[in-house]
Amino acid sequence: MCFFFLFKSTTEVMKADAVFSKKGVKYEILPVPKKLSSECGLCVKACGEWKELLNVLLNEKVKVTAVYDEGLGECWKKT
Amino acid sequence: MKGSGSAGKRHRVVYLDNAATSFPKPDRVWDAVLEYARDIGANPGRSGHRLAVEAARIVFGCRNLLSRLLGVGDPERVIFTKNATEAMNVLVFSLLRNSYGKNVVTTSLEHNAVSRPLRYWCRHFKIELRVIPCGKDALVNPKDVCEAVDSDTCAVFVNHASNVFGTVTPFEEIARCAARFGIPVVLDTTQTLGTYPVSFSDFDNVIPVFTGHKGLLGPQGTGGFYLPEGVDLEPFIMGGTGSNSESDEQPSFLPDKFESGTLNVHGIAGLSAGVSWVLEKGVEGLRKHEMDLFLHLWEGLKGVKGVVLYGCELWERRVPVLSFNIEGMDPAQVAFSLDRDFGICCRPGLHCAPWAHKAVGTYPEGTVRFSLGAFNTYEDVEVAVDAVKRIAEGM
Ligand SMILES: Cc1ncc(COP(=O)(O)O)c(C=O)c1O
Repeated sequence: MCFFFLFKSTTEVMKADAVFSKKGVKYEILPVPKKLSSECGLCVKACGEWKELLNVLLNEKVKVTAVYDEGLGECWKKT
Repeated sequence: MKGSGSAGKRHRVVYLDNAATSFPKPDRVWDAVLEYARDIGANPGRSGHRLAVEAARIVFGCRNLLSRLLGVGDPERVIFTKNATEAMNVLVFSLLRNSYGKNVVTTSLEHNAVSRPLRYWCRHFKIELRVIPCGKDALVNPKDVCEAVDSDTCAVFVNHASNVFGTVTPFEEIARCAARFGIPVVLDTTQTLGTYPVSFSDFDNVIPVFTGHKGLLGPQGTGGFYLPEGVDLEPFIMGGTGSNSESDEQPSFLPDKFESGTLNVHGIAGLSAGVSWVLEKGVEGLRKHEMDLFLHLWEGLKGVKGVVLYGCELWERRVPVLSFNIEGMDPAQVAFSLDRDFGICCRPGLHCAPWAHKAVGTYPEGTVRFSLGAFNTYEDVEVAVDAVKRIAEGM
């Protein structure tokens, strides 16, 4: 399964880019799907267990704002 | 006689004007600028395509390297502006705008990038401007700065090293006394970053301001500041950031809050390469090289009859910037002769810092300034000393 990870800014997307690339996660950077609302125009689509992937980012202090599945159901949102 | 020249390929010159802008730069700086310009070229953060992502990676990479150099942890707190002057204007306005009737503390070593916006906005907001003088040796005593700070102070602006006399003001003590009042300290690191070791990790109230084109060896048109977690500011320049596009409110998060408009990615690509070069060589190593040359230059000029050298002889409180005069001669004439007759590039006059010259007693004529950089050699220094000697002796 693949998931959309949303962020506030391009800088946070770039942090996620660096972390996922270092950890060998399969991911892409792409424009945020129209149906989702995000402060930043870019998001990261990564495949695997979303909870694990989210923790990888949070542990590296990347500020994720939300995670959605490919059907665009919300998995997690920053409170 | 022309200088034998380690700088530049077109003109055989001895370049001793690194405090104005460093030259030459490492080749990788221009390789990085060209690679971005030819092969990438896109706007970071505005579009989602691969070239825009590649451009965003370059900008982020530069933030990362700068935060390493500053000894801090948060790359998103590195804010880019077009130079130190723009960063200073943003900070002066943002820190003073809500401080009607209070006071600002600064020093007489400030560059016009600080003194002019401070003078203007202090007058406008009826803020008292407390300028702490340096001694004849061009040293500012941090204790004097601390004594001027009180509960009505809204900000402290300190030059880390004078671009005229090369004297360093230790900021740590000032940062600690300002912190007791919860006051931010804006530190002008234009002449220190890349040439003098610094770390800001222990200071939550220090805002270092940098320019990209001096000790960081990047292209002109790059600069910025680091905003520590302990300081909250309103932006001065607002506009498109590529984030929050549906809203007409400026984003509240960093760096977007302070980075409206398309960045100078060409310059930032080059700056990244410059900073990576500095980090590889190590600031300690660069300082050792530059200060060895500086001492050689100082001793050489000291032995020339009629030469007056300015600033203290406490070497740990100096960066490799040297101001001098030849008794009875106009600094502009000396610099002109150094260039025309010896191929030496340097800068005469007031160096955008009239307060500093007034404090040391070299106003209004100013001084001749030699400033060394990473690519200078012993030979450059010898050519310079010999040239000054011949000018002083009437050639
Ligand atoms: C001490 C100092 N502050 C500020 C500046 C301004 O830098 P910039 O011209 O890159 O804005 C300079 C150099 O010109 C400087 O030497």
